[in-house]
Amino acid sequence: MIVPLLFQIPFRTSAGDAGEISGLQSLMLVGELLVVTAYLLGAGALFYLAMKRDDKERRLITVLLGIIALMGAGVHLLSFLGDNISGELQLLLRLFYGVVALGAAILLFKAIPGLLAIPSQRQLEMTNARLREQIEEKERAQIALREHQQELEQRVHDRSAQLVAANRELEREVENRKSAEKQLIFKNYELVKKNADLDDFVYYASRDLKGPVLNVSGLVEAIREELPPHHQELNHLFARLDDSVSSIHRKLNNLAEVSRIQKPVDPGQLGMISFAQVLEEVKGRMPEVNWDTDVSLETDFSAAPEVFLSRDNLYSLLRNLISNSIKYREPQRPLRISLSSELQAKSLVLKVQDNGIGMDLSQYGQHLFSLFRRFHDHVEGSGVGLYIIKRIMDNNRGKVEVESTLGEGTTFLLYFVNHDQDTGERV
Amino acid sequence: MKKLEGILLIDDDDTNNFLNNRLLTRMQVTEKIREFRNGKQAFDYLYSVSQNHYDTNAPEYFKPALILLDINMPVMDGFEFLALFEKLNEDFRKDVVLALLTTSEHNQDTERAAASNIAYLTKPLTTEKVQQLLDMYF
Repeated sequence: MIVPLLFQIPFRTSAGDAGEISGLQSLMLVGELLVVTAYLLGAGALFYLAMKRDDKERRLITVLLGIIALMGAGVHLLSFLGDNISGELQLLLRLFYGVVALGAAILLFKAIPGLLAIPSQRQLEMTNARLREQIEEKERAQIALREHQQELEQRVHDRSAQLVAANRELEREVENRKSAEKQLIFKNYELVKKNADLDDFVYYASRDLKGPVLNVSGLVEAIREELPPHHQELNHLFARLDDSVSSIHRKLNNLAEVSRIQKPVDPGQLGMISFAQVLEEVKGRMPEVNWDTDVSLETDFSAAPEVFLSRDNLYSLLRNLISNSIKYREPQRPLRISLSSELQAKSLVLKVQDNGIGMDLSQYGQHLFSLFRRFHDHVEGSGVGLYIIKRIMDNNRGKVEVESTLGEGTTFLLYFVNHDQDTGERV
Repeated sequence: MKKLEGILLIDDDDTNNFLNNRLLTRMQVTEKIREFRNGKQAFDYLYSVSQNHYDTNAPEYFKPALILLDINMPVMDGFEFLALFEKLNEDFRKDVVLALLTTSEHNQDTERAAASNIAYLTKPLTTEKVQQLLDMYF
């Protein structure tokens, strides 16, 4: 629209004489001036629009239209200023404007396809359809997601139900165990009671049998006194009778001691007991041993003179240990027993060492402390001594260890729970 | 050897009483020995004697110089007997020696005996034990 306008501009020749301005001429100048102003304003508006545009194509087109408008304005300006500019320059400028406007028009023509790239209705419909498809697809995906979610929820629900069931089962199991445990505790209580009853039975039986056995030995003695002496056959029978009676007596004593050991010690009887004192008591109550000539007894209780125990228990321990050493002495050499006590980190240790016949622990070790087990038959024994030692140490939360070499001797190590030597407080 | 006024044997075991009686008789410690089957019988007898409720001419009634006492007995045991004996009048008790004679070597029993300040002998009774007791108390 503008390009034809450019060519419609009337060509004004500068044929008129200089300084000779007619009324018609001045009217034409005013008209030219108005046209220039209109073209410049149009170009300025187009440039302004171009600056505001975001997309490249339209900006280019706007700029090109602006340039063409500007060229139009230039042509009219030349017409307006025609008198002041020489004819050649004016012609050259007009040519220049025309060339620039034509160039812009060619560029404008080239830019038009870019401008036409604006999507058509069909394109828009296709895009729309594509978008709708995408939306549908998304909806389908959403539905699938929802289904998946429901499935997951169902699964969680199922799993929870399973867990609840499993939990109930566990609770039932726990209940069962609890009742089983109760029964066990009850049974245990019953067993403990029965055991105590048995110990009582053994204790009272052995005590009550003691009297009649003593009577028998007294009666045997009385009969011996009534019968003529020096009767060889009778003396032989009496010797056997004496043996039998004393054997019964000894066994009863052992049973009584074992049953007494099984019973828990009355806490009132516990205290700090002196090794040396109880050892003297043991010696005093073994009159059959000559302590000056038969045995060399070495003692050193200086490190720990007292132990927290009942007097009865310490007596039994020392008595059994010493009589054990005496029983299993090596006949070829004088018996030496050394007793000593020492304090270790957690225990008070009583060490009883002899130079007796010793034993092969690899052979007998595991049965050493069993009740009624005996490993020698050359001396009289009952098989309760070491059992009693073990029981006393167990009852008092201690332990006993034994070291022995065949032909050299045996060492017993008794570990007591450590108590303060002065106050008796447990360390 | 000085003879004792008389001896009481208190034990529920007849044979034991018989053997002890025999031993003491053969040792000629005393002329008079009486046996009782339990503490109650013995205490009733002693009570009568202490109250003079008896015929002084009857040889079976006498005040004993020594009482040998068993611990475990039916009806009234040794310690119950001791408790009652303590209640008899002082004059009567002062020249009576009490000795427990028992099979029990239980510490509790020996401690109670020591607390009551009376002798403690373990069965069987032997000539040596009797002699020791006599040497100590008479």
